[in-house]
Amino acid sequence: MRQIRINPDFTSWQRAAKWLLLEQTPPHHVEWVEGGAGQASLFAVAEEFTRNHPGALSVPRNFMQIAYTVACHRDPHHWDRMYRVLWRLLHEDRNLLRIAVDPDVRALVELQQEVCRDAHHMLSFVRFRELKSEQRFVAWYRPDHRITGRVAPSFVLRFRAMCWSILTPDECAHWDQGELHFTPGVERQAAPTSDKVEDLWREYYRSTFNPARLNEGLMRQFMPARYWENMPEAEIIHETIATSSQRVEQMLANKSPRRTK
Amino acid sequence: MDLKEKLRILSDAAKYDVSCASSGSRRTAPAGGLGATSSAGICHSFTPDGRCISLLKILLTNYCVYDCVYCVNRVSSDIERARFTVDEAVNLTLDFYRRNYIDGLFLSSGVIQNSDYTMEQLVAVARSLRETHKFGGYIHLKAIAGCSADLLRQAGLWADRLSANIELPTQEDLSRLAPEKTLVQIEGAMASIHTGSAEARAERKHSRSAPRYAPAGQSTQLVVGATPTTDRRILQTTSRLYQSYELKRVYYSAFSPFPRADVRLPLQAPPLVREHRLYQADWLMRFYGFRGEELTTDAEPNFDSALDPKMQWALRNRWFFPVDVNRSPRESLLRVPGLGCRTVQKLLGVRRYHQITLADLVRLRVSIKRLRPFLITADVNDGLRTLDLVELAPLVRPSAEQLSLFDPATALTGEL
Repeated sequence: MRQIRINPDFTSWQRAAKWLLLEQTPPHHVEWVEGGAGQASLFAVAEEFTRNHPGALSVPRNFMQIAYTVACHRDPHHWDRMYRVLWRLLHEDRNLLRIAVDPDVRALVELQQEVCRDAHHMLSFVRFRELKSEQRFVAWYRPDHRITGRVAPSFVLRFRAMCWSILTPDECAHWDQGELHFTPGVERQAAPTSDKVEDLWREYYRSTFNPARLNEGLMRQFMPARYWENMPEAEIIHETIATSSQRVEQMLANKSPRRTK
Repeated sequence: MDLKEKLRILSDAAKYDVSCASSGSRRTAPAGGLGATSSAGICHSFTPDGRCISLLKILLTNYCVYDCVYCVNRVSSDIERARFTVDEAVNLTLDFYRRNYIDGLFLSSGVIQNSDYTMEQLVAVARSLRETHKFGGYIHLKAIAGCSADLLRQAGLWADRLSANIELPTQEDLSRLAPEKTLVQIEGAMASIHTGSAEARAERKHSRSAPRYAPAGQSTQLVVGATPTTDRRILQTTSRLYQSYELKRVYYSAFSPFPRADVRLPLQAPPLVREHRLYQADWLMRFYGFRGEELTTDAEPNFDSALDPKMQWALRNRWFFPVDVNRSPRESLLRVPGLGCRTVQKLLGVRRYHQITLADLVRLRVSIKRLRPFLITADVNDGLRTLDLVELAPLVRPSAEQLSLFDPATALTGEL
């Protein structure tokens, strides 16, 4: 058994995987250990690869795309899963990824989907607050996986003409209308706590909801409660649900609705 | 009246339009501008009815000269009225967009003065967003019934999507509940949009710099359950609209009670299961190769609420089955109850390298209970023996418990 220490990022895994493949090390002989270089750890004997293997290795392009995404996953077992599929691709079947019912492939694709879903959630649920003093919009967000670097360019596309920062516990992304740069993660206290437009937004949220179609389970499925901490509208969800049956009864009784405060 | 009050009134009045998609368009803002659209669209929030908020959906005003019985904003109703100025609508959109609350704007309006004047106001908002503020986010404009073709032409240059609502499925329904609207007039707007779109595409073949016209296409909406019209008639109308005007989507909106409703309307809970079945049928027509008229019969013109439309078709057409998961063509697999488009695509990829068994289908999270009577797999499938049973329906019907929750995920997408 070889213990391999890598930084939890794609490049570090890729470098190690290339060494291991070219040294013909099968997946069940590898144990992956996450940790920064030089970090004191229980795994004093773990090997690290600090330079690239000079040899050549051809890997299917679609595998690299999937692996690049899966590398953002927070579950440390995914490094092993990635290596196992790669090994089988090269030793067993170049078409392995086409066999969606294969347990290893399915597990890898599920990891990929979890990361993609998380990235989509981040694009959806980040909420900026305006820092007037610095003419900057700032958001705090806690992604499930290490996706901040991967998602930040999509925010640039949408908010190119603004200065903004997205703060997360892993890393922070900053855009100053010139280039994207990253700083270490912070806690949520670093972000502003309110914005003058939020009151209008809550008014919109309340009014666009149709109480006659109440379906709380469906809402929670699409917008799990763990995201609510960043969303200004979340604080009126319970109130909106609680008053909906009363609003419907009023409508059915053909009365004018009373304003809910 | 302050801005918040207007927003309350004008978003409340807009919510019966169910479309909220921000997908199907790829656009980036010009230098110095804000916003971009992506082909997938983004849902930024969900309200407790489980519906997504991706656009700021408002009316410019809820004053209206029309008296459509099914509409909350009809002139004879004594609801509160309000009107946004063009700048107010523009600034709200930008303020919400900057904070990542929305993907863009869905702007509709009651009709004030006349159709052309109203449409000019909507176009003015869109033009200001695009020209003055270089806004690159999504804009969906409502085509006001009866406005000029020229205004629709302008609207399409600023908007990602245009929609003219058919509102009710037949001319008889319209005559009863919306006496000032006619199918001819509404379809006239659809035809103008269709022409504008076709012309713009033709021009872009010659010159890449020619302007786009409503790149996310057009959609429409009809209200279900406000009249006794059958599902069969509804699907006749929608399949005709899809064919004639290349609509991207038809939205079905279960009639939902609203304040100060007319006594001619059914004041009851919205028929959500029926709406769901129509969405499923719509998907079958657009992605599964079904023709509208196959899905119901003259004898049974409405869908059974307990079974999905594909299963209902399968039970009536047993001769078509069994289908072989390892050999049958894509078109046949798409007709197997329980197999969705994406699953079929996966199976076609897998079967070139691997003989598919029932256990494989379980791994793909397919509902075996529904599909067993209809599908030959590489291993032994006992379920095939039930295919010709008269009493097959109870075996494939979801349990009552599942039905009451009715697959929340599919309720939104209508996917099978």
